[in-house]
Amino acid sequence: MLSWLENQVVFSAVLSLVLITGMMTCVAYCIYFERKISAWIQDRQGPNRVGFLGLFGNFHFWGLGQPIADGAKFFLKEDIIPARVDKPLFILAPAISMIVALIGFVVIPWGGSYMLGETLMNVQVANPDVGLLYILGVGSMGVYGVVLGGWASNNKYSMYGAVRATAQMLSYEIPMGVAILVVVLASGQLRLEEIVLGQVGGNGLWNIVLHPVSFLILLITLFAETNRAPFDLAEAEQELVGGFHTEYSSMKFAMFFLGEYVHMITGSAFICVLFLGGWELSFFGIGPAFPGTGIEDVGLISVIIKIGVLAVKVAFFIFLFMLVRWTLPRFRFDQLMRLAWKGLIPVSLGILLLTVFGLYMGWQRSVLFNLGGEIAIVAATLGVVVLANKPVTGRQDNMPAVTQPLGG
Amino acid sequence: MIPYILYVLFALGGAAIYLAMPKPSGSQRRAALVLGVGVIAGLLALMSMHFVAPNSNNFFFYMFAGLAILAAGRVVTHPVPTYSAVYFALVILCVAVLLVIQRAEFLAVALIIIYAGAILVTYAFVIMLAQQSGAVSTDTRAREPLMAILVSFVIAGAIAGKIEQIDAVPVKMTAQVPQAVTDVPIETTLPATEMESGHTKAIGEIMFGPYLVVVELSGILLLIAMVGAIAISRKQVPIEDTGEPKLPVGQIGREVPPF
Amino acid sequence: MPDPGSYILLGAVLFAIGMVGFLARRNLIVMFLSTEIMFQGVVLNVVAFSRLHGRLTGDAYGLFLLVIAAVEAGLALGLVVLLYRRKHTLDAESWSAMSG
Repeated sequence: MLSWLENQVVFSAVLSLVLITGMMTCVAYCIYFERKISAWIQDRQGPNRVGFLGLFGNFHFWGLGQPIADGAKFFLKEDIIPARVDKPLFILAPAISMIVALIGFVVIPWGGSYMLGETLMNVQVANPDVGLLYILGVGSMGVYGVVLGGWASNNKYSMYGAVRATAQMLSYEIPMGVAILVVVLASGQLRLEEIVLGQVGGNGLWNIVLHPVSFLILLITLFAETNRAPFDLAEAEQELVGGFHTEYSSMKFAMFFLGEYVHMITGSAFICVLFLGGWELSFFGIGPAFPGTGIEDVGLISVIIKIGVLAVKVAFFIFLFMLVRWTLPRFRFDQLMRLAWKGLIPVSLGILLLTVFGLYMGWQRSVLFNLGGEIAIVAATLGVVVLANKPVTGRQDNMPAVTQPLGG
Repeated sequence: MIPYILYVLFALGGAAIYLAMPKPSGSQRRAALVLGVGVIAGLLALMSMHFVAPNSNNFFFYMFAGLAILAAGRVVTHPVPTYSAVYFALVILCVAVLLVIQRAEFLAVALIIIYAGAILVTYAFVIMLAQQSGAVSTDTRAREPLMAILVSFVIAGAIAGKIEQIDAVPVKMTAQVPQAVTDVPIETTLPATEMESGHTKAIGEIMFGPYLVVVELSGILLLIAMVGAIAISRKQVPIEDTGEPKLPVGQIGREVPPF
Repeated sequence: MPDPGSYILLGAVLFAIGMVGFLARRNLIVMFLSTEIMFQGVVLNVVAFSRLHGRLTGDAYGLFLLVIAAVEAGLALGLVVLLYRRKHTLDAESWSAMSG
C-alpha cells in the first residue's frame, strides 16, 4: 500500500513537504504567541478579538484566528516599491532571507529512524556527511538578505542597518563556529544524527552537561544570528526607523519577518540537537530513557514521541527567545562588539583548547574536568577583561577626532 | 578537431565578453547575452559529446557549469560592483555544487563558509561603503578590454589545445604516477571506498597525516596575514585632494533614475 | 561523475574569464573578485585531477587554496581601505601617478 514510500528519496520529499507546511503554521502561531507573551509581560491582553468568523457567537478562542487574519492582511496590503531603489536587488533581498532560513532545516534529525515496512528510514530530509557544516554555511548566507535589502533601499537608515548587521554577523560567527567545534571534537562526528545518538541515555551524557559554557555561547550567538533582541541593532526602531526593512511593505516585509522566525525555529532545533540530546529524553542523559525514545525504538508511535520531545525542547527555546526580547534592553553597538571580541571569542577559544587537551589526556567524558576547566576559563577571561578595560560609557568629551570615516 | 571547435567557441565567447564590457557609450548587453548563451551551450554540447560518460549526475553538471560561466561573465562585466558581488556569490554556489558532484562535500561546504560567508560579505561591506554616489567612471570604462580578452583566451586556448590528451589518460593510473608524487606517503583513497567512510574523514586523515606541517604553516600564514591586515588598515593616512566633489559627511544615498 | 576533461575545460574557462576581469576592470574590488574567480577555476581543476588519479591530494590542495584566498582577501581589503581613505576612489588607475 505504502510501498512507494519505502525509498529514502521519496520519503525525504514527503517529509520536507510536511515540514515546510508545519513550519509555516508554527511561524504564524509563533507571531501570535509572541504578541501574547509580550502582552503578558506588559500586563495587557494582547490579540483576543479575531476568532473564526464569529461562528461560535461571542467566544473568540483567545484570538487564535489572528495569524490567519494577519496573513491575509499581508497579502492584501499595497506593495510599495519606492522610486529610487535598486529594483532587482530590492525584490531579491527578502527572497534570499526567506529561502536561506527555510533550507537550513533539512539536516535536522527530527525523530531518529523509522521502520517503514522493511526499510529503515531516517526521519530527516537529508543526512549528508557534513550536516553540521551545512547549517553553518547556510547560516552564514543569511546576512545577504539584510545587506542587499539595506543597500538596495537607497536610504541612509537602511544602509546603517545593513552595515551593522554585517559587522555583527561576522563577529558572532567566530564564537559560534568555535563553540560548535567543541561539540564536533567531543563527539567526533559531523552528522547531526550521529551526534544525537552519541548523547542517547546509556551511550553518554547530553553535551550540555559536559560543555555548559559552550552551550551558553551558542545560545548567545544564536540570538545575534537571528537578529533578535537584545542584538537587533540592525532594525533598532529608535535609531534607524526600521533599519534594513524601513522601505519594505506588505509581503516583502512579511518575508523578512517570517525568515527571522523560521531561523529561530531552525536555530532552536539545532541547539537542541547539539546540546540537549535532540529527540531523546532521559534527564541530561543521566536517568533512564523515556519510553519510546531509545535508539532501538523505530515504530510509528515512538517516532511521534521523539518528534514531540524535540518539539517541546524547541518550544522552550522559542519561549526563551521571546522572553528575552521583551525583558532585556538592546545592546549599544560598542558593547555588542566588546562582548563578541573580548568576551565570547577568548572564552570559546579557551574551551576549544581545553577540549583538545581533554581528548589528548582521555578525560573528555569527565564532567569534573570539563566543568572545572570551563569555569576557570570564564573566570580568567572576566578577570582580564574587567581589570584591563575600564568600560567606556556615556558621552566622551576628550575623544580623539574622527578622521575621515570610510563612507563619508 | 575538438581543439579547433574550442578555439572558435573561445573567440566567440571573447567577443561576447567584449560586447558586454561596460563602456561609456553603453554596452550591447542583449547581443552579448545571446552570443554568450550560445557559446556556453556549444561548450556544454561539446563536453557531452566528447568527454562525459552518460550518468544521472550529468544534468546537474551541465546546469551548474553553464550557470557558473554565465555568472562569472556577469561578475567581470557588470558596471555596478554590488551586482558583481552578488553574481560572484552565484559562482561560488555553482562551484560548490560541482564539487559535491565530484564527492568533495567537505571542500564544497568549506568553500561556501569561507567565500560566501566571510570573504564576500567583507567585500560587500567595503563596496557598499565606498559606492554611495552611483556609477562612476571607474566602473563604466574598462581598461584595454580587447587586449585583456585576447591574452586571457589565448591562455585558455592553450589549455584547450591539449584537452584531448587528458581524455586519453587512463582513469586509474595509480601504478604509473611519477615518482615525485608518490614520494609523499599518502594513503590513496579511491573515490569508491571513500564513499563508505565519508569525504570528511578521508580528507582529515590526509590533512593531519602527510600534510600536517603544511596545515601548521597555513595557520601561521593566516596569523601573519591577520596581523598585517590590522596593521595596514589601522594606519592613519592624510587625505589627498583629488579634486572630485565630495559628499558632505554623513550623506548616504545615491542618484538612481526612477524606473 | 563527469569525466575530468570537462572539469578541466570548465576550470580553464573560469580562469580566462577571471583574468579578463582582472586585466580589464578598473575597480579594485571587482579586480579582486576576478582573482577569486580564477581561484575557483583552479580549485575545480585540482579536484578533477585528484579524481583522475584516484586520490585525495587535490582536495587537500583545494583547502590550502582556500587558506591562500582568505589571506589574500584580508590583506587586499586592508590595502583597498587604505587606498580609499587616501584618494576617495576605488579606481586602480589612481595609483598610476606613483609610477611617475
